[in-house]
Amino acid sequence: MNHSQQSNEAKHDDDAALSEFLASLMDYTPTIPDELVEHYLGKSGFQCPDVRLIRLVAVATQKFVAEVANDALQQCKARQASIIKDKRDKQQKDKRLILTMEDLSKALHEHGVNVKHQEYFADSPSTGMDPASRDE
Amino acid sequence: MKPKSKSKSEKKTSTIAAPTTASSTPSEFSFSIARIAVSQICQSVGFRATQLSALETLTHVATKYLQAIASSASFAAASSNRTQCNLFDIIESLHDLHSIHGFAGASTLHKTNYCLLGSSILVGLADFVEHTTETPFTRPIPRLENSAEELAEKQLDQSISIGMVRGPHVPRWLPEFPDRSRCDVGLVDKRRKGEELWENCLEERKIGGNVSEIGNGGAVTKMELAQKRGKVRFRIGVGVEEEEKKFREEGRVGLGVNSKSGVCKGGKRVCLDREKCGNGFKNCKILLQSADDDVDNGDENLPPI
Repeated sequence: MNHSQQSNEAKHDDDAALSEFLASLMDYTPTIPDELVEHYLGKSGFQCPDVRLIRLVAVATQKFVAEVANDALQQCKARQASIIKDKRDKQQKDKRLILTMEDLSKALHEHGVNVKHQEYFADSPSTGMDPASRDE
Repeated sequence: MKPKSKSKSEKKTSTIAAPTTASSTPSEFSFSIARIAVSQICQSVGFRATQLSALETLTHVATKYLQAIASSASFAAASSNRTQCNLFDIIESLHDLHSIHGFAGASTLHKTNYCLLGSSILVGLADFVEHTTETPFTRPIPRLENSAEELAEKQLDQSISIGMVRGPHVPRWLPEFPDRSRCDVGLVDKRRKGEELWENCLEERKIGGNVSEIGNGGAVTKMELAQKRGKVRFRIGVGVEEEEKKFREEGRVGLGVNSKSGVCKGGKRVCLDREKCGNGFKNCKILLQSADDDVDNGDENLPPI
């Protein structure tokens, strides 16, 4: 009896927090614009007249992207910290926070996305070949 | 590797801005907007620059994430016989997508007493909204107004709001029936080449009284011919001709009657009075309703054999 009352109270708290959260979405403008979200949602057959729910999806996506970017940032920082000290002085100029494919693929891997990126792009078909064979 | 990315990153703003203006197809347009949004998020996280390929990849992932939420939520809605998604569908789809990464309370999802609204993901989103600084999109996106679809929608809504009575079985997207009062009957009545409306023809016939009408209280009125019909000729039993010739040579009238079928040549209705039919055609009483040259003679000269 007591337990059920407690759970009911907890539910009421949840409801209150939820309604407050949804109300706060009305004022909050996510970085991903509503129009863009609506476009992609409509493309996949999602119908909803409620702006709050569309904003909720936008916030969820924004959070996801921010998490991935944050992971990539940590990867980037860790990589730069691991460089040997004497070299670090040289590259001090380059110590800028750049989103690279390498860090991004590691970060995305944690979220279940496997990104395979080509190591480099060849300028011409003969670029990677042995110089001896090229002569022939 | 490094200097390359550096040079690219320096150009970041210009390289991103360029394709936005050049994009023509809607998918490119939406993608370039998404790219700007994603780069804004990256900037807010703390990145100062980005490789273009990395940014494009992240944008792709973000759009796929959006579409995955949408399709999963709409699937959840459809499976519970709804067309519009609600909060629960979105929470369900978020659970689906986060199941790879894992989240607090994932193990208790399928217990009977579980409340979706207390989901840890929702709490996480609320925290995110509360604690991250708001970075709105750089510039407002113009909505496509006055597009053809919207105009049609507006017209539909107007026509419905005017108060035209239409049955619940008529689909909403069909145009209204024309206004009865506006239809000029005189104009419609007479067509160019003497054609007439079907319903007018029907009325005329009704006046004539010759058309049997089914459905008025279920009574079927008697069907009468309007005029005398013309003659119709047809022959049946061609093989009997020789036999007939014989008959004629003998001075009897055969009329090409095949006695079994009871139909004679020449399109005449022949009634054979069976009572008097003793031996073959001996005492046949032949009633000819309309005359035919060939048989006329035979009729008049019907010899009592």
